[in-house]
Amino acid sequence: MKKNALHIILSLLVILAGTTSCLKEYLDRAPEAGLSDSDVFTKYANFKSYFYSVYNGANFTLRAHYPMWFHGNNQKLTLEALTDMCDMSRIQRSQPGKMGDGSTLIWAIGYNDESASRTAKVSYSWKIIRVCNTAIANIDRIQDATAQEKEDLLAQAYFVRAYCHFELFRLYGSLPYVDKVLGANDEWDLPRLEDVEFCKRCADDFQTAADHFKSAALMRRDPVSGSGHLAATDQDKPNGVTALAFKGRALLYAASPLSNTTNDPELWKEAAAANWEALNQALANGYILLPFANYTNNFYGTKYTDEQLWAYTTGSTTNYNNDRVQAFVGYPFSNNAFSSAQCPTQNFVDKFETKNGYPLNTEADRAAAVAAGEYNEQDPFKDRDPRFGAVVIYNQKDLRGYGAASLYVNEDGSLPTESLLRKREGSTDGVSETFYYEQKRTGNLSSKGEQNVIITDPIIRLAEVYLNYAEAVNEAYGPSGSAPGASLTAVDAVNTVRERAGMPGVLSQFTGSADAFRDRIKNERAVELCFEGYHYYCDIRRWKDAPAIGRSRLYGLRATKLSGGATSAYPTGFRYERFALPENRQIAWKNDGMYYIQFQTSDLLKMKNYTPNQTW
Amino acid sequence: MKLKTALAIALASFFLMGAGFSAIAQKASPVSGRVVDSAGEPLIGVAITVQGASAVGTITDLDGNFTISAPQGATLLFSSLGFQDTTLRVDGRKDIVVVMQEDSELLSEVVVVGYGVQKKESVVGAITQVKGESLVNSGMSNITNAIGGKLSGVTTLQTSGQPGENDAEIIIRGVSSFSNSAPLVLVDGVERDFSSIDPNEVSNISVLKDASATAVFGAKGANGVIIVTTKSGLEGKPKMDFSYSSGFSSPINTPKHVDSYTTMSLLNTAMMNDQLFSSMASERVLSEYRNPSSALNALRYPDVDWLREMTRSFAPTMNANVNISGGTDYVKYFTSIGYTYEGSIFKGYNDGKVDSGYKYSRVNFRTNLDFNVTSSTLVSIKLGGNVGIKNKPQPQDGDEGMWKYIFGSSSAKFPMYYPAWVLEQVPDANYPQDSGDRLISEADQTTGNPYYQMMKGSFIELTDTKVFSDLIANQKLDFITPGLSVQAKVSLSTYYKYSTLRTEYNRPSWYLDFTRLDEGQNPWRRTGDTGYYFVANPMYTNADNVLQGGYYLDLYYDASVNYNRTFGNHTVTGLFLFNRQEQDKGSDFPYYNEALVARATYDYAHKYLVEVNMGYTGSERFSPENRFGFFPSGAIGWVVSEEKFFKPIKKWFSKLKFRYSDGLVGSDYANNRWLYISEFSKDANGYIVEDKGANEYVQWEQARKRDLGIEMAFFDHALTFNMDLFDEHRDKMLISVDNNTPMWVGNTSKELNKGEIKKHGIELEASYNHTVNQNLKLFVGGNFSFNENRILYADDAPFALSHQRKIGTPLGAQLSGVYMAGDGYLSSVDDIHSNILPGSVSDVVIGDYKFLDYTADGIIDRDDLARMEGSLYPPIAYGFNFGAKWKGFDLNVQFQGYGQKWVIYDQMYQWEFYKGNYRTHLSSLDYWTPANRDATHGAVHYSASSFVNMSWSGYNESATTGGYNAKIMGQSWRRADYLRLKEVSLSYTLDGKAVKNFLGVKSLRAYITGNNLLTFTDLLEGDPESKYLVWGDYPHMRTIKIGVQIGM
Repeated sequence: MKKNALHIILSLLVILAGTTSCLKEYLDRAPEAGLSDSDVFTKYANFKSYFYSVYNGANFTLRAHYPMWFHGNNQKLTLEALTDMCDMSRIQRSQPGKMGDGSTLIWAIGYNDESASRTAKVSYSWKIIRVCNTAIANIDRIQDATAQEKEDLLAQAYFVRAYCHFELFRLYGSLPYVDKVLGANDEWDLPRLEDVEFCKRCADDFQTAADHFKSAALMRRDPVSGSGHLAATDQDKPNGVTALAFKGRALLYAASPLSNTTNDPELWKEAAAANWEALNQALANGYILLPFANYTNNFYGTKYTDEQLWAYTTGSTTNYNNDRVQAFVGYPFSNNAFSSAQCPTQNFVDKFETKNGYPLNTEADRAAAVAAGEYNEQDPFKDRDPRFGAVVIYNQKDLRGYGAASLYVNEDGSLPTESLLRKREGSTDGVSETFYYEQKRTGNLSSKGEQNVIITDPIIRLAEVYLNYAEAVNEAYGPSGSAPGASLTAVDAVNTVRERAGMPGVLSQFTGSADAFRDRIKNERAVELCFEGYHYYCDIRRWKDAPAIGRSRLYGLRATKLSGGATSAYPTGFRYERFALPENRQIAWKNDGMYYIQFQTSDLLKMKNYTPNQTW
Repeated sequence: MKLKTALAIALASFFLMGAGFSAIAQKASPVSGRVVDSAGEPLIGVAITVQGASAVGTITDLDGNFTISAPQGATLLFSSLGFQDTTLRVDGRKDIVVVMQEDSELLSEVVVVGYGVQKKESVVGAITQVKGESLVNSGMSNITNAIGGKLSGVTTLQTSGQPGENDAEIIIRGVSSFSNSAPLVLVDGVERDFSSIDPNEVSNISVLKDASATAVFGAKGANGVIIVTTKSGLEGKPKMDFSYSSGFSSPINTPKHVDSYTTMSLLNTAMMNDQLFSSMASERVLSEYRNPSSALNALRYPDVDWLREMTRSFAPTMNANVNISGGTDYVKYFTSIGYTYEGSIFKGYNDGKVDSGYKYSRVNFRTNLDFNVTSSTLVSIKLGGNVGIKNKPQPQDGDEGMWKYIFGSSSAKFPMYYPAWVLEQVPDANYPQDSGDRLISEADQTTGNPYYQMMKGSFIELTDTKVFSDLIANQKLDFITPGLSVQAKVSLSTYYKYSTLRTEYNRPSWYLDFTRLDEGQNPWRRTGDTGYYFVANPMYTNADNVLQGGYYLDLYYDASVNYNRTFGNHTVTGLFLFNRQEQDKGSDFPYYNEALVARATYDYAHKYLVEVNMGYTGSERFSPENRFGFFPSGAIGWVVSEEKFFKPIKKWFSKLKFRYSDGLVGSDYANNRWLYISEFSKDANGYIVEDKGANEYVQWEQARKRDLGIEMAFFDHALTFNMDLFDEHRDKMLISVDNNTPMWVGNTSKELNKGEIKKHGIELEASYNHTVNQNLKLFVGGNFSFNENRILYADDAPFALSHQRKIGTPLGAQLSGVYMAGDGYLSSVDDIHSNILPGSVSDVVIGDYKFLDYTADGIIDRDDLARMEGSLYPPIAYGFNFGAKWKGFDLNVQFQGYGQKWVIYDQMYQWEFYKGNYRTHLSSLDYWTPANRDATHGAVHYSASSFVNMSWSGYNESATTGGYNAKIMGQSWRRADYLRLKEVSLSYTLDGKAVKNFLGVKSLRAYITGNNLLTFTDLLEGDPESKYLVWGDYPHMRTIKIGVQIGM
C-alpha cells in the first residue's frame, strides 16, 4: 500500500515536472491573423511591397520631397515664394513666412498629411527612414529573390535613407543620422550631428547605394537606346547614377559656407571629385543635355527624358483644377478661386542675361548693357536668354489660347478686356502683382490653353551636375581648374549648360577669378534650375546670401499701354516701369533662424539632447 | 454503517499511529464517551488529546463516540473547528458525555488565503475578511455594494443605480496602475465575476492586500485579491433556511426641479449678458409660464418637472432565498436557490409586448457537495450560477441617453406630450382622422424629450447566464507521511449574454408650432414627414437570442501537493501547486496563463511565524523571453503576547502581534495584446506597412509591496485594534509613450514598460464588544484607510511645462485645469480692465470667472492649464458600524464615507444653456452678482460659442474649434466628500422550543433593512459617489425592505 502510494506520488511529481518543461509551449501562441514579421521579410513580393510603400504608400510617401508645392487650407505656396524669386498671387500662407513668421510654415511644410496634399516632410521622412533601416536589417531573410533583386532593394534602401536625411537637412539643418531601427530599449534622445559630418553620412550612404546599384547592374534602369528606353517598369525609382549625383549634391552642401564654417578647401575638393564621378558616370550611361528645342520635356509633355537622372512623372494632368497645379497656375488661367501662382519678380527677371551674355543684375550691369546696345528697358523682353521664354509669361508673350498675353494696364488705370490681371470678382487676391506669371512647370496648361499635360518632377537632372561640379571646382581649383583626372574646367562646365540654351560662354571679364566667376555660377544656377524644386531657396541659404536678399526690395515691372501707340522712346507701345511691390508682398530677414524651418513644438518638447534652431 | 465505522476507525488510527507507543508506555486506562453539540447531535472528528501529552490523541467516530487511554487525573482537551475548546478532568469516569458549545467567533479564526486556509493566529499577511452573514444582513442584493465600508482598505464606488448595472467599482488600497487597478477576484479559488452572486451563498469574502498574501498569484495579484468562498454543508441533520424580503427603492440625490418661470428669467439674464436683447422673453410670456392663461398656453409655456413626471416615487424590490444544508459522514451538501428583483422607478410604457421600463431579475442557484469517497479521499463538486434578465429602454443616445434627457431637458421648452384634447382644439389638416394623445418630437433639441424616448417603444431585454462548476479531488497521503495530501481541481466558468427581446421602432411624434397657429396655418408637423425616421406600424421584434459581447469561457485546472504537520511546538506547512487557465473571451484570441506556486510556513508555538511565498507565473501576452515572472515574498510574525514575559499583563492585554511582509507581485494586464510583435497590414494603396513598433521586451508590471501590521486585543478580545502601514513601489507599467517618442523613431510604438508609481498608506481597524448582561450585547467597530500615490514616471514630454507634467501628481488627478484668480469673479468694470482675460474685454461681463495667469506671462492660454488638487479616487475611506443585541432583537448600523473625493461636475450642472438648451440646475441660480458675492457660479450666458468662459470649460469638445477642454477648479472639478448611512438592519428572532412547538420551525426571524438612508455631503446636486457627473447617472437608490427568515 505504502509502496503503491509512493509510486503515485512519484508519478505525480513526474507529471508536474513534465508539465513544467512544457510550460513554455503552452504559452507559445501568437495570433495567426494578419501578416507576421516573417511573412513580410522572407517573401520577395511582400518585402518589396513593404519597401515600396516609401514611394507610393498611403500613410507616407517620399514624394513629399519631390519638387514641391505646399498646400494648407487652400493656401498654396512654394519655397521659391519665400525668396526674391517670385511672389505668390495669393499671399496668405507664404507671405507671413516670407516676412519672418516661421510658425505659419511649420505645419504646411513639415506636417501637413491631409490626403489632398501629403507634404508632411518631417513625419513622412522619419517613417520612411525606419522602413529603410528595417529593410537593410532584414534583406538577408528574403528566400525567393535573385541576388540582383536583393542588391537593388538594398541599394534603394540606402539611397532613400540618405535622400530623406539630406532633404530634411536642407530644410531643417543637421539632425541625428538614424541608421538603425530604433526599438524600445534604444536611446531615443539623440543629439544633432555637425553639419559636415551629417552630409558626409548622407554621402556615404549614397556611395553605398551606388555600389549596390552597380552590383545589380542598375547604373540606369532603362536601356540606353531601343526598346524600353526611358520606360523601365521602375523608371521612377533611383539608380546608380542618381546615387552618385546625390552624393555630389550632398558634398557640395557640406562644403558650402553655411556648413563649412572654417572654409575648409578639402571639402570643396571632395565635392568636386564626387561631382566629376557623377558626371562621368552619367555621360557613360547615356545621359545628355537635351537639345534646347526639347528643353521643356524635362518638365512637362513627356514622361521621362535622358537628362533626368531621377524624375517622377505625375502622369497626365487632365484637369487644371487640382491642388498641385493650383500652386503654379494663377486664377486667370484656371478660373479657380483657390489657385495661386508663382509670379516672377523683376529681381528674378533681371537674372536672365541678354542673348549675348550681358548680365542685367544691377543697375550698373544694366547701364553697361544699354551702353553696349544690348538692352532697352522699354523693350525689355527682346533678345534675352532663350530660357526666359520657357520660364516667364510676360506682357505680350504669345500664349496659347490667349494670344498676346495682356499683362498691362491702360493709361487710365483700367484693365483691358482679356486682361490676365483681372481679379476674381469680390476678391482682392489671386492675380499677379509683378506683371509676370511663371510657366516652366506647366507650360500652357490652363483653361484656355492645353488642358491635358503630362507633368514630371525633375528631381535631379544632368544640368545640375554640371553646375555642382563647376561650383566645387571654382572654389577648390579656380575657374580654369578642374578636378583631378577631369577633362572639364569650371568654366567649361558652366558653358556646356549655357551652350545648350543657345547662350554664349560666360564673358571673359567674369572668368578671371573664383570670386568673379562665383556670381555668374550663382546666376546660372538661378536661371537654369529655377522653379524646379527649391534649389534657389536652399542655394541662397547655403551661400549665406539669404540675409542680404531678405533685406532687399522686391520689384515688379508695370506695363502701361500707351494710347498714343509706339514711339521711339516706347518702341513697343507700352511704358515699362520698375516699381516696388506693396509692403505686404515684400521680403524680410528677421534673424538667422530663417536659415532653417522649425519643427513643431510638440516635437521639440520630446528632444532634450537636440539643440533646436532659433525660432523666427 | 459498517463501512463508515471502518472508515472512522481507519481515520482515527492514523492519529494514533505515532502515539501508540508512548501511550502504552504510561500507566493509563481507557476512557470512553460521546461528544455532542448543544442540540444533542453527535459531533464527528472531534480531536481529543490528553493535556500535557500532546502526542496522545484520538478523534470521535461517526456517532460521536471515542475511546482514549488516559492516566488517572489527566485532563482531556476536546477541540473541533467551529466549537469552543472544552476541557474535562477524567477523574476516574469511564463513560462521559461532552457537550461542546458552538463558537461562531471561531469560524473567523480560519482565514482564507491564496490556494488554502490558514489559522488566523498564524497569518502574517495583510488580510481582512467579512462573513457572508453580514452581507446577507446588509439587505443589499448586489454583493459589490454589500461589502462597502466593511473592509479596511477596500474602496467601493457605485456609479449608477440602474437595475442590473449597479455594480460598484472595487479598488484595494487605492488606485495603483495606469492600466488597470481592478483586483483579482476569485470565487472558490478560480478567477470569476462575483458581482451577481447571491450573498446567501457566500461563506466569507477574504481580501488579500500585501505581497505576502498575493505573491502566489504572481502576475495577477498586484492589485490585491478578493477571494469569495461559497458555503459548504456541515455534517448533521438537514437544515433548511427560507428567507423573503420585499421593499421599495426610491432615487436619491437627484437634481432639483427649477421651474420654467425661474428658468426663463435666468435665460433673460443670460441673454442680457450676451446683448441678445431682442431674443429676450417678454413679461407677458414670463407671466404665462407662471400662470398660463389657457390650457393650450400651458402647453406652449410649459413647466415640466421631468423626473417627477417620468418616475414613480418608489420602485419595488424583492429578494427570496431557500437553502438546505447538512451532511452525513459520506456526503455533505449545501444547496441554495435565490431570486432577486429590482424594479423600475420609471412609469415606462408597457402594452404587454413592449416594456420599456428598467428592471432586473436574477435567479441564483448553487449546489456544493463534498463526498468522502474513502476515509482519505474527498471529492467535491460545486455547481453554481445565475441567470439575470435585464430590461431597459433604448433611447436614442444609448444607455446614458435617458439620464441625459432627464437631467438635460428644460422645464420650459416643451410639454411631455399633447393630450387628446389638443387635437380637438387644434385639428390637424394633414391627418384629420387622427385622435388621441400625441408624442412630442424632440426635433430642434439637443437632448431630446425623455417622455418620447421612453414611450416610443424601443426596449431591449438581455439575458445573462453565468455557470461556475468545479470538480475537486483531495487525497490524503498520511500513510506516506502524516499531513501530506494531494489535490486536483478542474473548473469551468461560462458567461453568456444574449439579447432576448428587442424592438427598435419609433412611434410617430409631433411638433405643434404655435407661431404657425398664430398665423392661421396648420401648426402640426410630424417628424416622419420632414425626413425623420419612423415606422408607421410598429413591429414587435423577437431578437432571437443574439449573442452579445462579454461571451466568455474560462477553463482552469490545477494540481497541488500540500503538507501540514505539527511536531510539538513546530508547525510546518508547505504547498506546491501548478495551474493553467484558458480564457476565451468573445472573438478575442484566447488568453492563456499558467503558474507554479509554492508556499512554506513555519510556526513556533504560535509565537514566531515565518512564511515564504512564491509565484512563477506565465502569460502568453509577453515576449517569449519575458513570459514568466518570478514573484517571491516573505513575511515574519512575532506574537509578543505568547511570550512568557507578557504573561503578567495578558489578563487585560490579550494579544499583541507584529507582522511584516515584503515581496513582489505583478500585473499582466495590457490594454493591447501581442505587444512584442510588430504587426503588418496593407495600407489603402495596397502596400505593406508596420502598424506600430513592437515592444520586444514587453513584460508584466511589477509591484514591490511592504506591509507592517500590528494586531492588538484587550480585555479578553473585547477590544481589538489592528493597524497596517504599507508602501508600494510599482514599475514597468505599460504606458503609451507617444509624448516621449521623438520623430526620428519613425513610428509610434506599442506600450512600453515604463510607468512608475509609488504609494503608501495606513489602515486602522478597531472593534469593541461589550456584554452588559446575558440579554444585552453592544458592539461598535470601524475602519479607516488612507493612501496616497505619486507618479514617478509617465509619458511627459521631457520639456513639458512643469505644472503640466504627470510626474509628481497622483494618479487620477486632473492635469488640465484652470485656477481662478483672487475671489474668482470679475467683480467690476475695473476688474475686467485690470485683469488678464482669455479673450477680449468685450467677451466678458461682470460676474464671469477670473482666471489665473499661471505662467504670469501676460496672456491666458493653454500654457496656463495646470494640474489641480485632488484625484478621482478618494485617498481617505472609512466605515463604522455599531449595534446591539437585546434578547431577540438585533440592530446593526453601518456608515461608509470617503474623504478628499472629487468629481467631474460639468455641462448639465455648469452650463445651463448648453448649446441653446434651457436646462437649469440649482447651481446656476447661485450666479455671481454684486449682491451675491459668495456665489458658486459665474455669470450666466446664452450663446456658448462666443464665450471665453465656455471655451475654458470643456464646452468645446472639439479641439479644432479652439476650446481648451479644461476643468475650472472648484466649478467643473468639485469636492465630493461624503458620509453615508449605508445600512441599518433591525431584526427580531424567535427560537427555542416554544417556537418549534407552536410554529413547527426552529427559528423565525423578522427584519427590516434600510440602505443609503442618509447622505451627508456638500455637493450641491448629484450623488457624491459618482465619478463623472457630466450628464447625470441613473440615481442611487434608497431601499427599505422588510423580510422574514425561517429556519427549519
